[in-house]
Amino acid sequence: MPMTSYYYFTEQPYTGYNPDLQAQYPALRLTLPNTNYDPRLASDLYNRYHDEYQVADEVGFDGIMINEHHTAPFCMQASINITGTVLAKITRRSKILMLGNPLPVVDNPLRLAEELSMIDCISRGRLISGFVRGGGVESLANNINPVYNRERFEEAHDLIVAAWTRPGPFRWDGKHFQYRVVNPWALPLQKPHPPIMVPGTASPETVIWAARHRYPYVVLGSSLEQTKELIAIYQETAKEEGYEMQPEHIGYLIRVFVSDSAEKAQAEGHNFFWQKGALNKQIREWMAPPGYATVDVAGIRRLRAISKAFDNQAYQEAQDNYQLILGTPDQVIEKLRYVRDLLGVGHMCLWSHDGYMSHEDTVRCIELMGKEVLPALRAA
Amino acid sequence: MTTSTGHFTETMVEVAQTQLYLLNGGTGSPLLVLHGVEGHEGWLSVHEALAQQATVYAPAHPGFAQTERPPWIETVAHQALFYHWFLQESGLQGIDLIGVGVGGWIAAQMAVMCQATLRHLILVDAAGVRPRQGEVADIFIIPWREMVERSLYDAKHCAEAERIYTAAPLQEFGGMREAGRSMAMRMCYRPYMYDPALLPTLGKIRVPTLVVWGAQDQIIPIDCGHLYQQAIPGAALRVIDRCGHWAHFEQPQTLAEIIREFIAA
Repeated sequence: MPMTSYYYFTEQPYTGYNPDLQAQYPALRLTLPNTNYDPRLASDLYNRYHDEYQVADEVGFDGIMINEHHTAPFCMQASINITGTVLAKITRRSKILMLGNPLPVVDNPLRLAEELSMIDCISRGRLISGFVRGGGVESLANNINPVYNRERFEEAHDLIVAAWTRPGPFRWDGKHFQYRVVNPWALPLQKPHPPIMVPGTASPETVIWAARHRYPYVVLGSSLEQTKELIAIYQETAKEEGYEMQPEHIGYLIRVFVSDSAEKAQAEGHNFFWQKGALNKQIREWMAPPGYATVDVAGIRRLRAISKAFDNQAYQEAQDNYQLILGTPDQVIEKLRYVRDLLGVGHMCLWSHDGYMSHEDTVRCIELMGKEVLPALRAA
Repeated sequence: MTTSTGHFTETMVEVAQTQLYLLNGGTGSPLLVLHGVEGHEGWLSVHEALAQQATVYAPAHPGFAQTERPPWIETVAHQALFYHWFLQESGLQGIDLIGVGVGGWIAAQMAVMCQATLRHLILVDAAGVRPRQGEVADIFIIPWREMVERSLYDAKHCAEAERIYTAAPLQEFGGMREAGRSMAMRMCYRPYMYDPALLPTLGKIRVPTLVVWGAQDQIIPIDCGHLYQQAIPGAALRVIDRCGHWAHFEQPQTLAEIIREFIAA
């Protein structure tokens, strides 16, 4: 049994629009008119999601995973650092797992280093600072040239780590970022710096990059087969780098909903499909603009196949394939244990809220997780 | 090399430590044709028509098709510098320079930089300036297939486009056009399809200039044609009816005729 940490996750969906609207637009991104967004409802939702995070913190999750997307109704977090800051103040013990800041779309990584340092200090060292490349559409939404996505990701990462660890002042003369003086008066509490993690779904390049840096790689809900392939790439790369991959190097995000009755869980599970297949509608030019990935056609195709996989699966099939776990505590414990041990992951992110699930049902799910599921998983 | 559309030679020429892919054919004074974001689509009808009275040079820009991108070429101005380097190495003089779309932007930039080797400048539905009215269609968020259709006035009856996209169908991912699409994005993404320094410097141009526009161009508003014509001293504007953004595909004979007339005048 691997020593595994368990994290609560919700995308913080904005549910106040009619999903049928998506039929009129190329995708649920970028050009879906924001006239369908009601800030009054958003205010309620933000605060409700924060209340649920507090429950997760109190019932014993090891951490809370948060994320960031732009021009996307399925995720209300336009700034992961704002959610992170809120968590730093309203939770007491959970790690704040950011998966993650999309580095390529950031124009001032030094400010990002400062903000993350503040969050680490305010939370008294609870930050896990994940970094992501972000899908191509995030670059379009922020008007950052997708051609430079990987270069900007890597340089921003190098700069942030330098800002955290190298005594200032020093100069930074990069290709994409230049600073006369790097000398932030906001440094992380954790030394040498907060843990860094990297999530992904398909790109072998990203797995290799993470393994070379010995950063944990978190697979975001890809099929178990695909996930095993990605883990194998990590393992090979680790060997080349002269170390053995450990469970702590791998994480997995999985959709799971727990309820007092199996019937209730089955009914609520449909909320994971609340966008009615919208994830399928990913036009190539938005998901993987020319130049976004090296011209690795197979890789891009694979990415697309994976992003489609979940929505395409029939409800029961998704459960049979462990893409979706629903049930009473006893039912989900068994399945989660199977996935954890099959993959040997040291980080399990439990995606336990989506769509129109009520606050009460979500809180009950989180409580059952904390009181029954997590203790059982920790015991065996 | 001979193809169904004409006679030309295919060569690789070394310029700035880069192997430039170049087609040339015909006899007469040198005429350099710079392609647009659609990329290098081989020896075209318009090349063949122009080659009746000129030596046509049709290169693939660095980053497109068979020409690799040297790491320093990131912008349209870099492309212009590269082509000046090519002209210098080739020793060509008295060149008639034609650019379509983004190729027109490169050509205009070349003329602003140095016009000693240029005899005429012809800009066809050229990118590079920001329209006062309307917007340049965002070809980076329109699906590529749709962009191709939108670039033609009558996509169903364009023999050249039909030939090109039958011979090498558009691929959603990868394929021979992927590198060029990336290069276009590299050069033209932000500011989108223009250089704020170009319009104010066009007044430096002293080469006789013709601006040509498709009357039904749905990619670059004809206002950009007016801007070019007004900014370049003595420039003329010709509009081709029943013609979209890709005049060189859609009206190759008319375009070649207009160019020949202009050069001969």
